[in-house]
Amino acid sequence: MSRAFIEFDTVTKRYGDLTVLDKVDLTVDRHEVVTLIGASGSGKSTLLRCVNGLENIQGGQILLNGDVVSGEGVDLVALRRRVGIVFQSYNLFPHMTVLRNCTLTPVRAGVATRAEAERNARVMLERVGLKDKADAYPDQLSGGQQQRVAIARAMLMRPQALLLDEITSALDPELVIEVLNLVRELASDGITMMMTTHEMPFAREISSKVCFLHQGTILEQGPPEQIFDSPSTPELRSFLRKIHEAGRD
Amino acid sequence: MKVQAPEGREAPPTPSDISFTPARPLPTTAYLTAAAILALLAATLCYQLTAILVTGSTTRLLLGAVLPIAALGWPLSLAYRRSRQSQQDWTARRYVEARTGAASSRNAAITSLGLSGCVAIVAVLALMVFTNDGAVQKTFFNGEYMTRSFFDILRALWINVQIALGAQILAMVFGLVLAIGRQLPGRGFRPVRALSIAYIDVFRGIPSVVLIYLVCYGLPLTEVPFLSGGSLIVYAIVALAMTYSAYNAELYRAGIESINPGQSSAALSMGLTQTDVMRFVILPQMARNIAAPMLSTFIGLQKDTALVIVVGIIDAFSQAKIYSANDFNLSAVTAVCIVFVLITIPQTRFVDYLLARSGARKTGV
Repeated sequence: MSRAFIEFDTVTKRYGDLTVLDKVDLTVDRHEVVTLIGASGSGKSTLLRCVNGLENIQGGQILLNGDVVSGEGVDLVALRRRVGIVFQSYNLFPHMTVLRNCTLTPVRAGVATRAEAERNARVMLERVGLKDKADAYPDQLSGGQQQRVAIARAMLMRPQALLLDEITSALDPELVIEVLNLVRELASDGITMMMTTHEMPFAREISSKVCFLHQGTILEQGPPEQIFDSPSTPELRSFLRKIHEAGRD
Repeated sequence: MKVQAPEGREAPPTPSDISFTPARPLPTTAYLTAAAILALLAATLCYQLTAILVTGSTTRLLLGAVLPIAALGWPLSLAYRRSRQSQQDWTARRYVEARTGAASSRNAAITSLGLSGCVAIVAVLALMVFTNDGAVQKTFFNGEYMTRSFFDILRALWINVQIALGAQILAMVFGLVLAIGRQLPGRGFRPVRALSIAYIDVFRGIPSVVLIYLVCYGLPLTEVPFLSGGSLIVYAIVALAMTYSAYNAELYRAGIESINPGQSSAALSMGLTQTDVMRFVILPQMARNIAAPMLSTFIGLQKDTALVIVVGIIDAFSQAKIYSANDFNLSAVTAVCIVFVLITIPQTRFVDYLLARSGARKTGV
């Protein structure tokens, strides 16, 4: 029995004639943190979005804990309750308070009563350092605070895996650290994570595996030291050089 | 702040000092001329108007000439004085003062233009109403005919209110069904989508008055059980709701499409069902976006209730028409216009208030 929790088996995704993902093979083990890097348009976000069925795939299959979760006939609602996702643009519900943002799904999904959900939410908000913001509306929060609420909201469904899609890319530099600290903490709790990021030092520190995507395929994957210190393909070398020149490494 | 004149420089010359050319003030002549012409026109119109309205020659001189000239002339003379001052400042090399003076002269001239324009328009309208021995006034604004018919019109307006409210409720519900129907995803719902779109296309195109005519006269004739037994007012409600649900469906659709797709991605990805996403995330946000345009269509619907006159329902307009036919005078119908306007204004303010309140609550002010 393998320890693989998320498996991509020759996954292919096309928009019309455009192939966004081309026969991607990747396994994510339990408690592993896998980071996808690559230029914009390389397919990182699409790969993440395929895992919880926000995008459908045209070839291959995706397995979660050994069971196929791609294609027809999958209970997407049940799948998404097992795999949470956090987006670059937070996507909090602007017409609801922070607390209600956090309790809506647990209550509707029937995993908690309203009182339980609120208690859990307050505990989680305290953990992300926003205990006193429970009754605020999202537009009263800074970007970093909103993103922490979004992470708390995703974690309250107690997902088995968490997908983080460039969650610091929309943040002002001084707010990035508060979100990264939170992710660091979640990783040390052992939740299985897949993420895309442009924060290379963070990727190096937190990841157990780094994958470099280029034009819809995984060109290189391996432990962070190998990827960052001894890249073997010219594409990855060129990508890392650009990152270096932009001062982002 | 004073700008040094070119020859007054004591500091060591810098390149910008050598070729010091101050920016000229904004030109004011065109504004002043236009303001003067319009003020003259407005004053003349006022004088003409007093010829009809006022008898005594002293009062006429006072109301028709002195008052308008004083009222309109004041901002104009202010604009003129500031412009003169600006020119003096310029020749005295007080460049900054010259420029601010010219700018404020322009502002005064614009105020004068606006004021004279309003006075002129009101005077023209009043001339039209009172000219020809007050023919317009007697035809449309006869106070006696208006007050005599007013309470019967108000009573009949209750019919319009019933029809408008009934049709609006039906149209809001059915419109939402249509809007959701036309964007249900997947191959299986294709017939539902096609049906919704077909309904919207057809019923948005049929004139309300024709539909009222067909439904109100047609349904009783068909003798279909249940359908043929209703009252004329119920038929009118149904007919208007048929048209307005098509309008509302498009409004809802625009409202739904205006919500950032990230909202439904986020909601779906947490494991909410499609129905819950609609109910808790999309529709509440949409409601805020479409409140103002929805009120506009509702006001349109309220006015269209006057169309029921074609099937013989005695609504406010139809009541007023009876009066006007008896009196050989249209003042009762004007009263209907006034009543309709009066009931729409509070609604607009109410929606403004709701939007402001929901905006304030969202930002916690």
